[in-house]
Amino acid sequence: MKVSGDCLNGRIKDIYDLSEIPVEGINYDQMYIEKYPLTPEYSPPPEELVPSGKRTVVIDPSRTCMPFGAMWATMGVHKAIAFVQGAQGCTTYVRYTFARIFREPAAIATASFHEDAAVFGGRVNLVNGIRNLICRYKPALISIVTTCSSEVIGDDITNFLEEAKEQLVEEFGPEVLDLVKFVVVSTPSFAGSHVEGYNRAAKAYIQTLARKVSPNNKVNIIPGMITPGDIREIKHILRLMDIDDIMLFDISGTLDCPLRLPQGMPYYPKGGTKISEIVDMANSMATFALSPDAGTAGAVYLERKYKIPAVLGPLPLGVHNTDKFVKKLSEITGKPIPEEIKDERGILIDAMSDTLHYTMGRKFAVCGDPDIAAAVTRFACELGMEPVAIMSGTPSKTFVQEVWTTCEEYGFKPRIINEGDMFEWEECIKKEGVDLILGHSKCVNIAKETETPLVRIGFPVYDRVGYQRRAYVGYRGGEYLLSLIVNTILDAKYPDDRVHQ
Amino acid sequence: MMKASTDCFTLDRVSDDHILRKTKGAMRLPSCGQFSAPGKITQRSCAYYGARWMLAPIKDAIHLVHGPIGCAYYGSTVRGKNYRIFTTAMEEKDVVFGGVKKLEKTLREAKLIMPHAKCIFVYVTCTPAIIGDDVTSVCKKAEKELGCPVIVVNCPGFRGESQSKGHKIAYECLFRYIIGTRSSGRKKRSRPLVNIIGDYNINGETYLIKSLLSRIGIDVHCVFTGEADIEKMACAHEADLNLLICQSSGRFLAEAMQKKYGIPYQKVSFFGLSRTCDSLRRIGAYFGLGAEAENLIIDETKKIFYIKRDYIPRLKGKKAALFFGAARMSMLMDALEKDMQMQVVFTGSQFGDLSTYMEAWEGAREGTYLIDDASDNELEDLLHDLKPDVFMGGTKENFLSHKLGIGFVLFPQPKQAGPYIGFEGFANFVRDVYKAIFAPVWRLA
Repeated sequence: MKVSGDCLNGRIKDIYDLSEIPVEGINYDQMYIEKYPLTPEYSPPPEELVPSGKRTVVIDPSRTCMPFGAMWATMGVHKAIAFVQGAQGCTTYVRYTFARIFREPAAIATASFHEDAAVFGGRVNLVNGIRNLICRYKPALISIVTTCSSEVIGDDITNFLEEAKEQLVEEFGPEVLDLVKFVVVSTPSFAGSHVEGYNRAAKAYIQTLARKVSPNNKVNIIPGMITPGDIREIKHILRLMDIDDIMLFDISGTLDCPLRLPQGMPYYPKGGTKISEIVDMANSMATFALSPDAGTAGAVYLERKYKIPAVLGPLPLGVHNTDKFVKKLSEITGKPIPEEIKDERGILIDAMSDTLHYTMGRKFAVCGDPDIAAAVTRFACELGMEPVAIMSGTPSKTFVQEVWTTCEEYGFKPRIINEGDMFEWEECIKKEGVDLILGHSKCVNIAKETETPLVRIGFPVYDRVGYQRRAYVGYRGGEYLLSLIVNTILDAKYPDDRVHQ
Repeated sequence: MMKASTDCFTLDRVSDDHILRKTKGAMRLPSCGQFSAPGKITQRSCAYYGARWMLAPIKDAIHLVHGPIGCAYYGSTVRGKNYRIFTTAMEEKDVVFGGVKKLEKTLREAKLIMPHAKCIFVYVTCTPAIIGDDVTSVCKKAEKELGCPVIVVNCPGFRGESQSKGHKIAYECLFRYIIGTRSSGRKKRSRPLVNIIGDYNINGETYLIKSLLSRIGIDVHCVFTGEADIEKMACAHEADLNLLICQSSGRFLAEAMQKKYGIPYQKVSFFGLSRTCDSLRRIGAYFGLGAEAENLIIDETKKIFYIKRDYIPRLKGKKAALFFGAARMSMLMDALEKDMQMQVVFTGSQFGDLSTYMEAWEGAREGTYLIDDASDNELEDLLHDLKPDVFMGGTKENFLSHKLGIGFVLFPQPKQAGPYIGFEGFANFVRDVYKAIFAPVWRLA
């Protein structure tokens, strides 16, 4: 095909319009595929309405409601099913979300609230629902997750549960209560966010199940909302250091499962934290809440009640944070840091030194859950990148302090948004302009609009395959994330591979 | 352990009346339209979900969710696409003191941020409905102040038995407050004009239908809601005919428009070869364009001849299972059995009504199971016992099917699959079914 002058001056809309890509004459900035300029109807919004603190409307929220976190937590327990005391949508939307992120089936039961429940309360729904669920699935644990509607109606869950238990005993005999455990997680959707929901679930599970017996020389890990790959990486580090652990809400065995036929019926994943392990959590040496916003409540409860020291964050992502985690582990257990871990760290440092020319000075923006956003910001700063807009969709007590410390250390003054919405953050990016966005899949819109490359990380990522199997924490995870960042920059800035030959 | 197993569903002992097997003799239908039993892992969703499913593609409107933040968060993604969403994000104090003040302020701000919006939809979710926020009067007041219609979509999650209630609520809103509010002023038309009801432009399906119809000589005015804007919907009552595609969600609108504006409607379907040809012929005949329709069918059928030659012989006799919202249940059964010579072992829907099951019963062959509102473990049992070669349904069922080693075809189809309707779409669909059944991974599993 002959390349006409028009084609060169304007942006080439579709790379498939060209039968052959000419090397000379087209500069790289023009060679973008399927990207849109700012939408035609875009007009800058009134200045005073951009900061989310100055308006009541929330546009494109980056956080969801508490029950989600409690359901996520329950997914990580072996043979546990969440029973959601609310309308059908409260479970269906969540099951969609799990299916899309993890590509795994997710069984969550609903109380099926209808008009009668809204008027008369959800007592009948809970009592009958628990019975039906046990009959159909024979779960080992049922966590009762409340929602906005049940909390507004004022359902007395504890009493309802007592009644349900009585009926179960009457029907199936007293042994039924040994076979099925119950945990109540109170998560009114109109407060907090999914991160807080996970936090509350951690406390509720420990409070209900953990019992002091005798020391077990293990450490408790409350991972927070990180990927199955991340959890495996944490276990890998612990194994190298020869430390036994209890991983609470271990989704690596439930939301990333092998396909091996024939499958048992009904389908239950093999993995997940065993109930006996949660009971044993009261006997451990220490509790690590890797994500301080999702897990602190559980760790602090263990500290107050059973005098088990709590280590709250930071998420071991990046060099500094992983150093801290490994050192703390060594300090508490008295085990030395093995050569292998030092080598893994060395490999990450080596990779960073090899790629510093690609990353130094690039401006970036981050959006996500507070712990992940703070840790990713620190890692990107370690790579020599410059933060511009850092947002946590969830209100967090530690996030601002964490990011502030990082930026002080590296000498940057970014915009830090706590409890913001995507709209505010996007306007900030439009105004400042960045080279790279680090965020979840909902950042695709702004990435397209401003033609900025996007590295997907955090919750939720549903438009890329294998994300949930990779680790981003630890030294090896850091190396993977670094490669992801550099390759994304390469693809975006120098899309024609021939320049690298 | 417990006596529980007697209550468990097994195929030998069909205890529930929401599942049955087609046999010779009089028509029997599964009980449907019932509330799901609590504790069941139902595939159904809520009224809010249904309303979003219908209204999300309307792009020149502000979509404002009045309720806690979660509903807005989930509702911003519809059919795998992200839409801008506004919300009041109710908090504890709003629940205690009422969310009306917040809603007033939010409406004003939303309009300032998106001044070109021609309409505002306010979705009422569970919380404001239970605490009794007077949303209607706030919206009436705001309508005057902001100078654009502010429509209350009263879709709290506990209303109705499933999302089908939400579909109806959404179409009711469009019908009552938008359709027929304007006149285009055009008098003469050289070509007939139709509306399409119940197409949602998945991977450009709307464009495909439009191009087929335009080749017969028919123009499409408004597509509910795949390609709908306020302007077009407002004068949708001027069309000559409504084409009803999704019969469960759209029937209300088609019937209401027939009653009020005298626009007749035709049930059509562009899914599968026989149904597409039949629909085009009927539409052609209605407007006296039968010859054009016939030519189009001949042209297009030629183009996908290779499908008949290469793929269908291999698919012949393979077993398929279906579980959908409602309308696709019998539509797909036709395509699979008639056009692809496959065998459907069970078909079901989340919220089908009597008429959809009647249609399914008539189309089904003997021995096919019909199931209404299947729970997760019922699907699991059916898949396990009947061992279909391919299963078709939504995202939630997708990965369960894979875990049991059964190929899956996803609806609404993902981006890379392309459209599934019309002639080209049929080719896409057949290829995807082929891929799902014959992927080497199933031999390795």
